[in-house]
Amino acid sequence: MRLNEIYEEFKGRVRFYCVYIQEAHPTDGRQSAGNLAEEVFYEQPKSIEEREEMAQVCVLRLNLKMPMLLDNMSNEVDRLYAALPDRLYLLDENGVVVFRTVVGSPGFDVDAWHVAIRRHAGVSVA
Amino acid sequence: MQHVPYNGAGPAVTDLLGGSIPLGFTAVPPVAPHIKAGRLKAIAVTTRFQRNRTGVSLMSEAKWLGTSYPSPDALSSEQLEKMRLTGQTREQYETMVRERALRDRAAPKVGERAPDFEIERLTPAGKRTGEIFRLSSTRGKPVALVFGSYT
Repeated sequence: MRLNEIYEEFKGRVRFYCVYIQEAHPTDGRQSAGNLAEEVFYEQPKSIEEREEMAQVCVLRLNLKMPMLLDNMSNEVDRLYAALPDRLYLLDENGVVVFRTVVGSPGFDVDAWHVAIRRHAGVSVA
Repeated sequence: MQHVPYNGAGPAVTDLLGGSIPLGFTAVPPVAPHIKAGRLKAIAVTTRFQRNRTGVSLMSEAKWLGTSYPSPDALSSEQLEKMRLTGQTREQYETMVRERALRDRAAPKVGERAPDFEIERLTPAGKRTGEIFRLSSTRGKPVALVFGSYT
């Protein structure tokens, strides 16, 4: 998995965190064609315990290796970073944004994020 | 800019070539031979995919409402099919993109300080730990953040 490869490559120089946020495409929300095809049917969690369960499903199915965090039920971090449905950021040593993908599903650009991490970590980009 | 609606690309390209309109938005096939022959000048394409085929720059700054989503008038047949499958109407699509554009205005941009937050850490298996993580505790090293959900 691509995220794991990038994590393994840079985990010595960069801190990685996966923030588990509200469901992007639950059955009681904006269902996606991909979920219909793959029969991924989950309701939006109503409690932190339900969200925790979804995070466990996600870690297990996607075999995610990086440290995981859980957004609260006010969706505070999701709102702060306009993260829904998914999004990638890179912050420098002082907590300043050096890269982010565009808002929305077309913006989940792992390649561009990887290039930004390589540049910032001082690895020349081929 | 004044919008001049055409009944298809054919008449629009004819008027472009004749000089009665200075600029047009079309799909690539109707204009490609004219671009190659130097009769029309390609300024930009609106998708990443077509950049490699045409050699024209990506119109990255002109996406709908400043997002990565296309305008409802520029949805591809693939996107329209996905909307049909999920029952999403054009109005719902517009509302979704508008909401996301609005949310994005408050998010930190490149060069801005990322807002601090405190949320719970999970174990490698995704279980709650009761331990609180604070973003500002990570200063001194770059931080890569992945936001997402299973669905």
